[in-house]
Amino acid sequence: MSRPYLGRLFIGDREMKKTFYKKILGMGITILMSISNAYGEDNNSQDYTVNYTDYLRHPTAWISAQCYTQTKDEETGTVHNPCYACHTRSMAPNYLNDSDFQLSLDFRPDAAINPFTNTFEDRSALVAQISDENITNWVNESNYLVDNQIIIADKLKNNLPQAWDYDKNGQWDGYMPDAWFIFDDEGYDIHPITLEKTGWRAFGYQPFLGTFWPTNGSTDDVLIRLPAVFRQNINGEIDWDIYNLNLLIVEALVRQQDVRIIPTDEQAVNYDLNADGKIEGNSDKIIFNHYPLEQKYMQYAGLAANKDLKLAGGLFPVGTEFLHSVRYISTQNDQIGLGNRMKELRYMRKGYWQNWADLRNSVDKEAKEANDFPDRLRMFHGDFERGIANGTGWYLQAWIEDRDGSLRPQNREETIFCMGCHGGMGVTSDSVFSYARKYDATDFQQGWYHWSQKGLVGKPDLKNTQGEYEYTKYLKNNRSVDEFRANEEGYHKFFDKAGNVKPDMIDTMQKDITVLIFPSLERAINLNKAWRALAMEQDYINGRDAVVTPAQNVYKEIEAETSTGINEAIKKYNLQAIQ
Amino acid sequence: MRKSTIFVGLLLASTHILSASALDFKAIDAASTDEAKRMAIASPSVNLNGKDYMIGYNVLARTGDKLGDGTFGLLVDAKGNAVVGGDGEQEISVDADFTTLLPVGDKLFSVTHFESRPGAMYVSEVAQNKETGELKYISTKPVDFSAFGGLWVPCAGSVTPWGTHLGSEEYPPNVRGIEDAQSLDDIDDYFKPFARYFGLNPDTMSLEDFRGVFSPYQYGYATEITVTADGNATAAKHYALGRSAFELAYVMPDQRTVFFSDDGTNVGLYMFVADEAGKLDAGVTYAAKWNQTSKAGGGTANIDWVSLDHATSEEVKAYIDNGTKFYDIFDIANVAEDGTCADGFSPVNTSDGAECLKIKEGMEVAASRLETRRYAALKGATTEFRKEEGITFAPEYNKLFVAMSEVAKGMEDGSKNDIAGYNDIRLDKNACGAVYELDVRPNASIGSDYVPTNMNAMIAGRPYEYAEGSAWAGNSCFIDGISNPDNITWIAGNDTLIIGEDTGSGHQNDVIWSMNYPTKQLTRIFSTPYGSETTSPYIYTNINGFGYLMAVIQHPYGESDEDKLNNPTDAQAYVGYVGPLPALSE
Repeated sequence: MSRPYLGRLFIGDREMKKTFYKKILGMGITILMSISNAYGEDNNSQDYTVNYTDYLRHPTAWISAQCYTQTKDEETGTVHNPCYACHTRSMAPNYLNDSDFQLSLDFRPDAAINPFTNTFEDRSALVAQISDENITNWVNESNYLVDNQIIIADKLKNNLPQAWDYDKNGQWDGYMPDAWFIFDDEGYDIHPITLEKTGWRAFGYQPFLGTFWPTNGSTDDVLIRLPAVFRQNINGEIDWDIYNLNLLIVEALVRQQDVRIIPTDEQAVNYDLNADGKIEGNSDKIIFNHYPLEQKYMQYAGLAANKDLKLAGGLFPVGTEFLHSVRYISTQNDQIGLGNRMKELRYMRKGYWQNWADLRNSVDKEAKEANDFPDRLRMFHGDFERGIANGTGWYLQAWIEDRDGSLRPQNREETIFCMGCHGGMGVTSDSVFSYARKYDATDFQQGWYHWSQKGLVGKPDLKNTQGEYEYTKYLKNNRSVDEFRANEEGYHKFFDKAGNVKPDMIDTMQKDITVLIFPSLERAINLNKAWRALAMEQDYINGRDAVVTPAQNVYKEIEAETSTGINEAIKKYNLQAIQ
Repeated sequence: MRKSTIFVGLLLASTHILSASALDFKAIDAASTDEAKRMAIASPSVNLNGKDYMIGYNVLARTGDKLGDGTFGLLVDAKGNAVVGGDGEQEISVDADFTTLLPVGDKLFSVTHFESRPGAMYVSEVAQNKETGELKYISTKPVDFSAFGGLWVPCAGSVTPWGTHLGSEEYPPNVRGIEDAQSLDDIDDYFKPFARYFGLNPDTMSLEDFRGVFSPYQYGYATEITVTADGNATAAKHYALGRSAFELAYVMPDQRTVFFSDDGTNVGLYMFVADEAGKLDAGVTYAAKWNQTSKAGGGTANIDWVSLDHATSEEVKAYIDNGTKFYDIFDIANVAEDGTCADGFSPVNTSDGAECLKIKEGMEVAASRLETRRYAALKGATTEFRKEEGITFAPEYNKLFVAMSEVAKGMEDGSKNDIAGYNDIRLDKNACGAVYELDVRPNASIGSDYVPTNMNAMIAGRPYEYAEGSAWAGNSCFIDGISNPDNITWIAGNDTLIIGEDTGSGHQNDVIWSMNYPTKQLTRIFSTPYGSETTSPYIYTNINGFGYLMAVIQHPYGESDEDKLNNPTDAQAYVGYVGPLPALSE
């Protein structure tokens, strides 16, 4: 049954003649066959071609499937509020105060019908046909780095498919993946042979609420890189201590809070860490002290301090890059962890500065537009090859798992999917989730590590700036462990029959969040299979949540101004930088 | 909907007949390539009476430009100091809008609106090349509105017959909402940045701070700027007309009759008849009543004018100055589910939603001029229009034109916006909008020669779905028709109506059209970059022997690959003109 499809797929691959590329496919073929067999004959005539034009099948692609959640349980009358995790009254310079979305599903007419039909598909039969062994092998095999080569970079450089070349100039003009995902004991990404640092740095962070918990589908990691000037001392020499300091200064700026560091000699770094007006002595904090209206200014360290670089509270410097891989869940050694195989590789780069007034104007402009033309849709500039602008200064682009298990660029619609969260919500700090959730200097490797070096086991629930435990607050308000309330395993673990959260489980979770956010091995394997089944379809534009059975608590269609049943908006506060 | 489609289809199919004075812009194509979509493209030439003239889009200034001692669009507070954000950076408005050219003596000035909060107007001196007609800004400075508590979001405008700049204040706050607020969170974020006009930091202010400085009945009026030969610009607010979401006010040739359009959902259409020609501070305001005769082709109606009584600016200003509150003017009651009210209250549905209102004794004038839309609804006028935009007048035909960006919401038959309302307008939705024409006639009882008697859709856009592979995929209105008409301007003596669009997905690239009125033939004369807006086209038929079509482009990013990669929201607007045109009038 699957031959016609496999034949078509592999012709292109034969032309590649790259040993590493053959290798990755080696084991993949068996699994692919077993999975594609599950589709039967009819589906083989299906067209899996990805549309790489500007056309959007779903013009509201940025509105995520989670936004269609039916928050009120009609049977029990229970009201669930997962919405506040994202949609909240924010802190300047994020002027997007979208807490009204907690109260009313006030969608544009074009969004009235939930386009994410994958959420309603039953993949249990498909999932049943994929063996545990096959999926586990699939997950364990990297689709990113093989034989010290970054597969996708090689393809973009040397075998660029025409469809991926948006501007048809014969070359890839966007980000060329260049992180090796091999890390030293300070979290720096290093070249596998030369061991040179690439500038990318992994950091530990408290996973964001809900969807990004492994129990709800995937594992992920985040790497940051600042432009080269941030790695140079005042003499222009590469200085990794200066880079480290700049990364922490940026953290203090973005959080607009003091951050903890290991005791550091101010003279050694030539920086007034504790903002006492003098460069002398040691400090175990970087004090956030950037209040231009009070004539208090911070600066970057090293050479970056001497350049005319923009700096402001709440914002990353221009040129900041993030790399975010979303992965299958590893069950190796019967432990939940980061899979080697990537589902997605997401990249964002701050391309230009937007000052506070610019950011406010963008939000106000959109508010006015929404008021003038409530039916009008958001518009996005850019293309999938060079990145699509999110409106706050960042360009986003990404890769996603192809049918054959390799990574391919996301098309325009799949990329616009990113915009709802990165730049379209009140909760982010300069359109980024993770950096304001970074672990501090008291953590392993001072917080600079990749999950492959140390996992999440033993991490406590953290307090927000109001002193509330963040995950605890989420459980109490969402009264479930995911937005769709489809994670029964997690639900039964944390809620009793009456739907009340179990106090003893809260106590346990507050000491070790993985009791909440990690799935059982069995669930992890099923979630992996569900994604794989989705990847076989390649219709990510219809939703990309790893759903095994149809989601029950999700609207297929929403009437204008449907009440969520939530009467009062809850505010999502930022995490305390120093716990 | 089907009827409107046929209607437009017929119009488009009509053959091109040269107009009487033979003004003919060379048509440009709809932007279809990636490159064209990112460009501002104007007609390369115009033919007048058989002779070709080369024209183009010429930029006078970008917001942020230094012109003489001034920075074009820099927001200033009541003391004239630059408005500074929480990050210490000065704020330059990117929202340049309506811009006039004002000959004063042998000099030429230009007044530009900046649709910000606080709003701003800049007066610039213009140099005109007497040979080529080319215009250039040489200096600029802000217009002082401190005597009026500042300026609220100036949108479109017009030039009065006596040569002054007539501006507007759009979307003033719903005062009831501000008075009802229990905390700062209850105040619409859109209003808060205005606090900076009074030196407050909106990121840290309290509700009391905000209320202490922000008096919402100060905003929502027609403004008039008089520029003298020495370049001084004096501002006025004409409270006597009333308070609404002023798109613009337009003075008729009698210098007494003024029409003003109200932007938003569930709004009214108004007429003011001044006591004396050239003086807009005393007179009677009227609101239109739509008496529908047909729903075909965007609708036809007879129009009655409901008097909102006489008032003077002085009277109204006294109410503002003594701190009149919404609850000093009205008593309120809850609206029942069927849209009815308790005895003594009247149901209305305006931009501020369905309400039950009762005017407090003796507060009629305050209600009429501080709450004009609510008052009009209470008096039985129609508050169901949807996004009324441009107004212009064709004296040759005695026709007033009014652009309606969409035929939707309150204009639809029995929409939810009709709860507690009259459902006067009962049309099929047309998300692509229409331009209406109104016959004006002398009316002795009103005491004006310019009173519209009817209103019908003269040209409508046409909703259209292009297939995925089409060059026009993504445009939801027919590419060779209008989409969301915004500002319009009549070229007198040339049978030409200029129609500017402000559209989203209707047309990916906003267009300015030249329409030959007798034939209804549309010619595309200007296309703006993807995602940008063209605002406020306005015609000057003869300034020292040259004509100009002013046009502002907001958000002109993405004009080239390079720009786009540097900063796609480098949103500094372009103020400029299409031309120079030959003189179009004596």
